Amino acid sequence: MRTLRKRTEPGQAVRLTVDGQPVAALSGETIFMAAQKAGIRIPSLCRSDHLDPIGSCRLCLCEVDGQPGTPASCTTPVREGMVVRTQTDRLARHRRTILELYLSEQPSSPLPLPPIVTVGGRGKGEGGLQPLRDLAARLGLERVRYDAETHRASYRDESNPFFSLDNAICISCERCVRACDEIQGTFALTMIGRAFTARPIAGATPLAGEATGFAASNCVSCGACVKECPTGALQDHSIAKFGRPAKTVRTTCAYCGMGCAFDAGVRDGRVVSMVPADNGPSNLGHACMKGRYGWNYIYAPDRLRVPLVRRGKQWEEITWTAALDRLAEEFTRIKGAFGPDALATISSSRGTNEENYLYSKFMRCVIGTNHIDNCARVCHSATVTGMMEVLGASAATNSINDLDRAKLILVVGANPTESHPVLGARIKQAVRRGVPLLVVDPRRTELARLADLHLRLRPGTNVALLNGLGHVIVSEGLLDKTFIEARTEGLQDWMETVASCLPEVTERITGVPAVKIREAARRYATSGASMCVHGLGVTEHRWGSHGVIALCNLALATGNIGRPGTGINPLRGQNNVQGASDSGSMPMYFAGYQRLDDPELAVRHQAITGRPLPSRRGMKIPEMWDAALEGRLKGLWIIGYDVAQTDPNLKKVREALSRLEFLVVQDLFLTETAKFAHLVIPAASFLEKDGTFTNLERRLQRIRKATEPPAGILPDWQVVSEVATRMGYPMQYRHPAEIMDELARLTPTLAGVSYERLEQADGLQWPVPSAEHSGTPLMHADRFPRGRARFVPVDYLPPGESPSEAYPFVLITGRILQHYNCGAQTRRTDIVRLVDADVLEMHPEDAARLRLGDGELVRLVSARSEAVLPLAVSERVERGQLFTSFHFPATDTNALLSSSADESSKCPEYKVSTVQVEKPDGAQKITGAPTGASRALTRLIT
Amino acid sequence: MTRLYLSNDTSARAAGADRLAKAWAHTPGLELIRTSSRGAFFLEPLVERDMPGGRVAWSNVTPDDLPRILAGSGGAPVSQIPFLSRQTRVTFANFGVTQPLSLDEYSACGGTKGLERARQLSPGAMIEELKVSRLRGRGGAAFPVWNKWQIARETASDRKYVVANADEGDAGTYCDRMIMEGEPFRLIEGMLICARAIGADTGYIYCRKEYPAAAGTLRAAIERAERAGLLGSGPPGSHGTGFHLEVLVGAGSYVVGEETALLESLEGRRGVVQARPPYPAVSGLYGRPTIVSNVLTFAIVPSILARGGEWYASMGTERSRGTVVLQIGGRVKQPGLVEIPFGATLEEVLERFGGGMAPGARFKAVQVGGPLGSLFPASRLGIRICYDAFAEAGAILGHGGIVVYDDETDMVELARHFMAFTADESCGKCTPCRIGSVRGREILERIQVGRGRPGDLDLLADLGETMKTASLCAFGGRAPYPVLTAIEHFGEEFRRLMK
Amino acid sequence: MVEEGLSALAAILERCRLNHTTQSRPPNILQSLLAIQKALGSVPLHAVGEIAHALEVTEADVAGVLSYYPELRTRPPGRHLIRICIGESCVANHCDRVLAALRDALNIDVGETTMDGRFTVQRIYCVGNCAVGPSLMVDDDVHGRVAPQKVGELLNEYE
Ligand SMILES: Nc1nc2c(c(=O)[nH]1)N[C@H]1C(S)=C(S)[C@@H](COP(=O)(O)OP(=O)(O)OC[C@H]3O[C@@H](n4cnc5c(=O)[nH]c(N)nc54)[C@H](O)[C@@H]3O)O[C@H]1N2
Ligand SMILES: Nc1nc2c(c(=O)[nH]1)N[C@H]1C(S)=C(S)[C@@H](COP(=O)(O)OP(=O)(O)OC[C@H]3O[C@@H](n4cnc5c(=O)[nH]c(N)nc54)[C@H](O)[C@@H]3O)O[C@H]1N2
Ligand SMILES: Cc1cc2nc3c(=O)[nH]c(=O)nc-3n(C[C@H](O)[C@H](O)[C@H](O)COP(=O)(O)O)c2cc1C
Ligand code: SF4
Ligand code: SF4
Ligand code: SF4
Ligand code: SF4
Ligand code: SF4
Ligand code: FES
Ligand code: FES
Ligand SMILES: [Mo]
Repeated sequence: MRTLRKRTEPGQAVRLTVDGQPVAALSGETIFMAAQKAGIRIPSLCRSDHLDPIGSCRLCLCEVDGQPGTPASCTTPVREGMVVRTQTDRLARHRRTILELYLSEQPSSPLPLPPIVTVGGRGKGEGGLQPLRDLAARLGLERVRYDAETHRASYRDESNPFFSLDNAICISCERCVRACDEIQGTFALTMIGRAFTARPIAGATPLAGEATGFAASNCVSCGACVKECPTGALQDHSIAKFGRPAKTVRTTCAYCGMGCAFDAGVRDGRVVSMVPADNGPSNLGHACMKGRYGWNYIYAPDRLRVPLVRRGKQWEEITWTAALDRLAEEFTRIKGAFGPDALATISSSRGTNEENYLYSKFMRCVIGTNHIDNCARVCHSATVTGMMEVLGASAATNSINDLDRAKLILVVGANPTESHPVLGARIKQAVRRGVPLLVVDPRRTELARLADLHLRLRPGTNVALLNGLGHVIVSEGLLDKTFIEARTEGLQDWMETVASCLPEVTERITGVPAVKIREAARRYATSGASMCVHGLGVTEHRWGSHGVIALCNLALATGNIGRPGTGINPLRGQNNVQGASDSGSMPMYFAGYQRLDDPELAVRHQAITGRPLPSRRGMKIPEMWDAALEGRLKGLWIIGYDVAQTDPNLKKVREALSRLEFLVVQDLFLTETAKFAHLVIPAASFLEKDGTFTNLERRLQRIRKATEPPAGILPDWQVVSEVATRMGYPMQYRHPAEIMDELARLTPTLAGVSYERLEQADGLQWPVPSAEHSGTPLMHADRFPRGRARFVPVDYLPPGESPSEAYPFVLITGRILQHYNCGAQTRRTDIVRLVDADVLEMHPEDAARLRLGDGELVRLVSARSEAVLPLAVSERVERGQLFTSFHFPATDTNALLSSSADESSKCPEYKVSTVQVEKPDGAQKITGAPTGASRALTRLIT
Repeated sequence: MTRLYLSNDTSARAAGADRLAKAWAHTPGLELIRTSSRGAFFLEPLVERDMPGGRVAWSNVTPDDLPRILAGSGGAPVSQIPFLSRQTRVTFANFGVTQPLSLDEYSACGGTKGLERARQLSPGAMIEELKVSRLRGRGGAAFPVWNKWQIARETASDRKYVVANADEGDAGTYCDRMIMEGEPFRLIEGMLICARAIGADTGYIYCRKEYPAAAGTLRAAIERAERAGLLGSGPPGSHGTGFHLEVLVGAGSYVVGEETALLESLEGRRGVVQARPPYPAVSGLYGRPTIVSNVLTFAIVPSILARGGEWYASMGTERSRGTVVLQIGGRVKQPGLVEIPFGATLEEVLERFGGGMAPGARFKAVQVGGPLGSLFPASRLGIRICYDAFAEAGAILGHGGIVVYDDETDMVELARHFMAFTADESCGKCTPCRIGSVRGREILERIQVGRGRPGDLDLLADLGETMKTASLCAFGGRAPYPVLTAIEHFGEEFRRLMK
Repeated sequence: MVEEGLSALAAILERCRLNHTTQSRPPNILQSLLAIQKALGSVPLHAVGEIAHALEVTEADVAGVLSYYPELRTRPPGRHLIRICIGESCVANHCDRVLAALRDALNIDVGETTMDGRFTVQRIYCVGNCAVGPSLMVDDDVHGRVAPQKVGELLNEYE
């Protein structure tokens, strides 16, 4: 990775004069920045707020008293007392000549000014050179004196599914290349050639004259280059097709937990673009493929538009009134016949806080049970139990922007450059600045490749490794005694536990060399500010909660918590998995993780909702399957969660679903789960409703309706309101804002949240205990919710399954960049033009041994099921290990897995299963040939 | 056994030295010592012999001349060759005398004295010595050397680098090549002194691809210096090995000689110019403080340390101290390397050293400072060779290259050649140079074929003005000068074509 | 031939990689490409993927460098590379006449290779032989004071 040249960090106040006007600036800033702040507009094309200046266009020239020549204001730092002129006749003359030169390289023979070109699908009614024309008008350039013979090469790269590059209108400003390097850190673009021919391309194939640059490169379609392009040489297909947006609506991405702020572009009532917002507090203007380009599933032809009821094997369309009546009737009937505990709801971590609160309120107040859970169960539930035990609070302790303050970043069992790509990009930026990176992962992920130390442990051995690190910290005297004394308890117990975890012993269990264990421990303990982020590689294990606890212990032992640039930060997965749990869609806690048996809460709850709060804990999702199989659970309402594809041990889940008397599924699409439903209710997407999401740094942000849902579709909050009302408990909210007000009144950590306050671009990070409180970017600065944090000793225990002769491979499952969870959404976008199947990753040596080749179909067999899928030979996985994803129903990955789960949280052991790999024999028909996966396209991120 | 000295310098070989060596290889009783070159290239191949009164030389030797030389007849004492005796040789004092790869000879002739002195001085005192010497960089920009060192020394970093700019891109210059081929230890010594002064542990010599012999000699010299304990042999940063020095070779590209482009190229990337600040002395190679200096600049440093800054500053003119190394080429009678104190006029140099025009040729113009340098007609030869006089004239000394054109030179074609060079070699980063050079070339091309238009010369002037003022680096900034001075002094040739 | 080239390539890349690790500096694309070109005569475009993989950089990074430097080529030249200097000192010494002689002798233009694959002709800006110009570089040999009428004779030295 390229090293960054250091510039002076902004520091002291500096005063200068620009065009006769006094201007205040900071040292390290450029003249351009200072002028911009003072409202002075200097012409520029190659500069951007997000990129290091390079001084290419030379339009921003200025004159500085006492300095010869005309420096570029974008690359010249301010100095105290400087006198700058940016608007003189001489400068204007040179600017016109420069613009003239730009126009002269355009092939459209620009005399006097180029005619408006609308070639091949560019924006409707817009010349590609519009920005240059605007500038020409501003600078008073009327004529181009060069009737040049030499023009830019006519090269068009249409190989990316989402945007294209047209070299003819490019000005070689390198902003795209710099965006890919500096913002995204993917280095998929480069300038090629030199002199007049220097121009941007993706990858290397254009050197051979092929227009396949993007397709053949490692581009991850983040769109940063397109956003930076000042001319439209790089442009989104959707804009070319539908035209520029007439208005924009600020909203929040509904895929992962990053919570990227976006401006949805709308034209003629249709969403035509999604552009990451520069003032997005978490994404700072960046995005990933899914948020940026993976949204047009909302226009998918097979989107659910009307409610459906099952008649035998047939679906029948019914009216909304009939559907809501039916739902209310069935729930009333079951409650009457079998009592409240025969009903349960699985609420959606994809939905809003308001919706999740309402579903839990519905279960608690209308049905009278705590049988409500959400998808966090299969995801970070182990984080919740683990962090609760040690710290007394279960959410990221720090903020994403702390990545800029960390002096070391530790990534444990997370793959952010795919799962949370904008966060991944931030980590890569830190690495370029020289911040050390440690990665604990059995796979060689992109970050593992870039890491200073990659601790490549055996799957399922986190606790052993983390205890081993603890041992080194203790034995080498690296404990932060002051912190431990002041803020913690239980050190002794922990020290006893790690005393036996010598690096050499740890090496035998984990496979990580003892030297690396020692070095990692030293670095983590002594960096000054070590920030830990962790993911499912910690939680989705037989002993997931213990893994989380072991991580917290390390942070306590080294004082890496409660300070900027430190902490324990679970990378919560779905857009609102944090919020779904925060707002009470949990069987063990009320909103804000309040205990169900809290007498004070009971009183408040009664006062506000008019109903008592059931105090007996409810069922977790896996318990619901058992209850259904045993006939205890009769009715289930599943909102936005495709359990029949994404829960483990699918045979069991499907069996449980089919035993239910009444299953209602509410989704945008007819998912695998919906296929079991008695009633299917269409849902509105995030672009079609209002509400709030809470991202992985506890930040509540608004989503706003940008477009109307297909006729008649109600957002989820209205559906549940209607049903509750029909069941005799009127829910009459006019707007989600009112739901938030109620939630805030019930929840001390959200007490200060209101839509009014959420109008501010930054949203609010909970705890927000009062309307005056500005939110909490950093938790536990002074005290832990439980007073002192408690060291909790945990011993290493092996995973549920170990390789055997019959099943010699360890299968790790997880996600890939391009698709999202059950895939219902991403499979219905152009992303399938990049990846259209789950593939099985196998180490080259294993593949060679089994005589299997890249792209070959193989059969994956476990004790429970088998799957047929294409092989991808890859060094991302270690010998003896395999990796696959679960995004395509045709693969049926999760049928392979067992029900083994973390003891205390029931978080499934998705990350360790043992399997065998076979060549499917010739006669074998590939059953359920992968839907749409005709070619098994794949693109591994390394 | 008779010892003869024959230069092993590329130009000596190009002039036929190797042919002599080959022809005489098996001559009994003859020992052929391959030395550096005196730089009097018009005399090469030059064969020398120790005689009681000092070295005697035979010039433009052919294989058949051997008996004559062995008989000791017809040679001229070296001390009586005016081209050499009129010079003030400081940096090039040993040239033609010593064997390039003999560290012993180097030391015997005054080498390593500077380093020994430096070892007795604190970094601050070393830098003070340079300040007193008033040495300015010889790579073109003429920046005070001590100042750069001071900045690099004061910038805190885990690592610092010393980089010799051996890209010598200016056509018409070859003194860096001569140093690398002829006295590589001088460059190494200069770099070692710099490393001590700023606290660097690693150095690189970026040598242009066109100089294979120089790179080979340097590598051999580094190996010997390592064996002698002057340089460390371990990888950079490994403790106890001192200064690690390495030669990296480029791959063409004129602009790579510009310091920021050079550092990019040294890191293995596109050799494209980077905006400054940050300056390399603050943030250069791999983002660390780096001294990038010209080969000649480094080569001067040992003498200054050995003989004192005051001694050096006593030569030259007010703001151009010490000696200037000029390389005369083109249509003169005596092309070669000339080292004299700053301050002589161009005319004096051409007469006294160049010896007038080559037989049959008539003077038309002279260009100083490489392809970006201005042209001077006969009427302007009175200019003094020093930084200030040149700056005042809108000209540059550059790296000291002087090229004389004869009257058969077509000035329109020459102007087109300059613009074509710019259009070929531009790094492509900034607009005035990237597009402007092509437009400039196109205008000259059409003038050349008689399709010039009335406003063309004005358009060129206008374009040139913007290139001068607005370009990111001196490449685009200087590129218009040779063209515009050609039009200024030989405008008639252009206007004739535009009828 | 291609096979052979590729295994040679793998060996060079391994050396480059090792060199970077022992020198504790990031992979140097330019130096690696030069090493490959030295061994294979050129940097074939189809090798870019493998080079990028071995150096742990992207294909774009390699493409950028490969297309920037005039000395790097993607196709092998003739057995001998003739580089005629068109630097100013050689221009002053009327190197255009030498170039014309070269064209006559070889029947090819600058940038081309003779039918028999013996010579490729390229331009070069100065080889530092300006005092002994006009200059012609054939492979690593520099020839000085090249007289146009002697060009044919000079080339006879090269098979
Ligand atoms: N593109 C995309 N993004 C997503 C999603 C998606 O489906 N697609 N899903 C979202 C959701 S719901 C979630 S929860 C997040 C999840 O995001 P992540 O937490 O990044 O999830 P995974 O990639 O499944 O697993 C993380 C890593 O754990 C490693 N791992 C496996 N076993 C072990 C082990 O024993 N120890 C350690 N230390 N590591 C191990 C795996 O190799 C993998 O690299 O992503 C969210 N973002
Ligand atoms: N093998 C394996 N399996 C895994 C995992 C693994 O690592 N390995 N990871 C697990 C994890 S961490 C998770 S979180 C789960 C996720 O699994 P799921 O929650 O099943 O998958 P999602 O794709 O996130 O979303 C489910 C559905 O929500 C719908 N939806 C989206 N927005 C809305 C809305 O606003 N309203 C309604 N009503 N519906 C909406 C989508 O159409 C989609 O069908 O998968 C788990 N499964
Ligand atoms: C286009 C261009 C080409 C240059 N080429 C060279 C060169 O070949 N050799 C060199 O020493 N300096 C060259 N320079 C100057 C360097 O940028 C830099 O100033 C110099 O190496 C510093 O060394 P010095 O302080 O010893 O002069 C060039 C500058 C420019 C703008
Ligand atoms: S879309 Fe993103 S990854 Fe792809 S080239 Fe553009 S910036 Fe790079
Ligand atoms: S594509 Fe756009 S951003 Fe990239 S160089 Fe061209 S004009 Fe600049
Ligand atoms: S990083 Fe996550 S929140 Fe941001 S755009 Fe991508 S999927 Fe959406
Ligand atoms: S310009 Fe003339 S007076 Fe000034 S320093 Fe140079 S030679 Fe001396
Ligand atoms: S002036 Fe020319 S060489 Fe210099 S940065 Fe601009 S384009 Fe590159
Ligand atoms: S904006 Fe400063 S040079 Fe382009
Ligand atoms: S100009 Fe031709 S060798 Fe220097
Ligand atoms: Mo998740």
